[in-house]
Amino acid sequence: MKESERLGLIARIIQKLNEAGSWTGRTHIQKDIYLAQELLALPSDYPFVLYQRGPYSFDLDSHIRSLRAIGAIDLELMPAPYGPRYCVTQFGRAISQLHPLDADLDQALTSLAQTLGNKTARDLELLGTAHYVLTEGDAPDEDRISRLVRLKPHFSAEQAKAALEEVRNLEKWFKST
Amino acid sequence: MPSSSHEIRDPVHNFIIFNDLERDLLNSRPMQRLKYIKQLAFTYEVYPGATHSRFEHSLGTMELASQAFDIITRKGGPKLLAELGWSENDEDRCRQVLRLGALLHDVGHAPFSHAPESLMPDGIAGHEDFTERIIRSADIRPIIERSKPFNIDVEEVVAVALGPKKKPQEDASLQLLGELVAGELGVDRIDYLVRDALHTGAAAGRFDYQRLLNTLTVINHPETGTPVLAVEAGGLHAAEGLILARYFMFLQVYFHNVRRIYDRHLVDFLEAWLPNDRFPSDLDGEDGYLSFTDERVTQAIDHALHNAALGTLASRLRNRRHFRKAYEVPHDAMSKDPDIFENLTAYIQQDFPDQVRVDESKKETYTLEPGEVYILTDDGPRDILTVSELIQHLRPIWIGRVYAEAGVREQVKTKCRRFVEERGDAP
Repeated sequence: MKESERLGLIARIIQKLNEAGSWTGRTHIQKDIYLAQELLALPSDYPFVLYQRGPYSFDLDSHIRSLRAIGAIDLELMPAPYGPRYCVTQFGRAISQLHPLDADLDQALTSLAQTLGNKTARDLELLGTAHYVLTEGDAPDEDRISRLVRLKPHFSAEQAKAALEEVRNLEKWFKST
Repeated sequence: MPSSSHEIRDPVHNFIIFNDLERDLLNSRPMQRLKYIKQLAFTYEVYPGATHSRFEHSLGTMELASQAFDIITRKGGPKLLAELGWSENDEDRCRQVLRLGALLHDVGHAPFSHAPESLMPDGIAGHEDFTERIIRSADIRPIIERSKPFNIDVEEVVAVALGPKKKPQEDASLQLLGELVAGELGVDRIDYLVRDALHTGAAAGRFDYQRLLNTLTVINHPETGTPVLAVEAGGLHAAEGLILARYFMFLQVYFHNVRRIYDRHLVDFLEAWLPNDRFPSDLDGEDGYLSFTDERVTQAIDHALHNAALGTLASRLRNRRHFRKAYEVPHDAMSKDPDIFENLTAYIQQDFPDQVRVDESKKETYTLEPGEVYILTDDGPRDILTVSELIQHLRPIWIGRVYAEAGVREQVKTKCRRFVEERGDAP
């Protein structure tokens, strides 16, 4: 993937999150692209590791910085207590059109942005980590829930169970459509 | 508790006090090797004072680590200890784990520090992988395992030395200790900026680091609730100072055009000189990784001056026959067309495969993104980007340079300029 293609793709995903009314913080972008790679086979090939707020890619982080460096995205300040959010600029919209996506993938990315966009960073942290735990190999659900709670002790076992269920439903839904 | 105390005079922190355990580590072969690895590689070709070593930086990082630890635990009191699951005995133990991690955090560096990072052997992603292996090696592990009464586990030291980015931790206290060493406000960064500024003489790297240390505190992350490092409101300007110092040191020192071409020439020389074009993966033995220091490479460069195959590469480094900057792609051209540097590189290297070298900085991260540093205000924790207009307006840097041999420099310059101008209409 060429640099412009990769940057255009991220700009497009940020634009979709903006259009879905998402807060579009770092966690939104990271988890959206993580789940897009995992559920929609998005060809961005970022390596993800478990970091402070669930699956995280340092390469993707670097590309988000590059997008700011070239003026394709900008930070918008929001009133306290909220942090800044990312917005696609006019230039960002232009580069996102340079390498058009397959129409079905583009539509699926819109649906994913609408599904994830209005979740809180906290919810996305749990959802992303739940998916990560599901990819760690076969294990009974009780073990997965324990693992999830051990990784994210600020969530209860019930919340962990619900997150695993939600990820599975998302997986099924995207497969069927 | 480790018994007697020892001291070393340091140009930045004056006296650094250390215990028997730390002395044994300082005397170990891998730590002694750091005396022969310069912190800033060939930067002394531009800033002659920059001959300081990884050894003194490691000592300085250990010193600042415990200063920061004492400040945050004093402020946090029993509440912080409870959140981290520490008893009062654990406090001393964690302080020792932190100091060991800080002392050993750079033990895996290659000769000339970051410059030849691309020449690591297969299976080793970067110097941090060697740091991890060296801490677990027979040189270091037995010393750590003697750390009675603390019984420190080597893996705890690895976690702290590498920090949460390289070694994400499930344990909140190890994560916090790792952040103290290697985080955005970490003492590794504070020590290298202050030390590099002192030795290079570059005033841009100085900032009020004592004020920053004194205003460090621990907050619960606004989203996850986990304990993370933050700065009290009174330390905002000191935190801004750290971020700006790093930004300007990057522009003036770390990415200085002559310094960077020396790095590139060093890689060319090492690729030709090292068996299999790479550093070895074995640590020990006559030609093991730990046997490679700046001195060994410098001697090889000297010997190679009269060698038919390596003489030219050696002379570039030894006799200031380095390539000169021929062209720097304007920032707006890089912005308009993100592929421009890659395309320019392919174009120019077709005509001048051996007489041109290129260098790009776009992966460097010298600004802050949301959620990286919090300021504790009267209204609770706030992202520094929302309380500091200065930091908010700092744009990431993206630099692409083309260097050329003296004989073709003008030709290269003209071709590069024309190439970029012709693509000026990119979106």
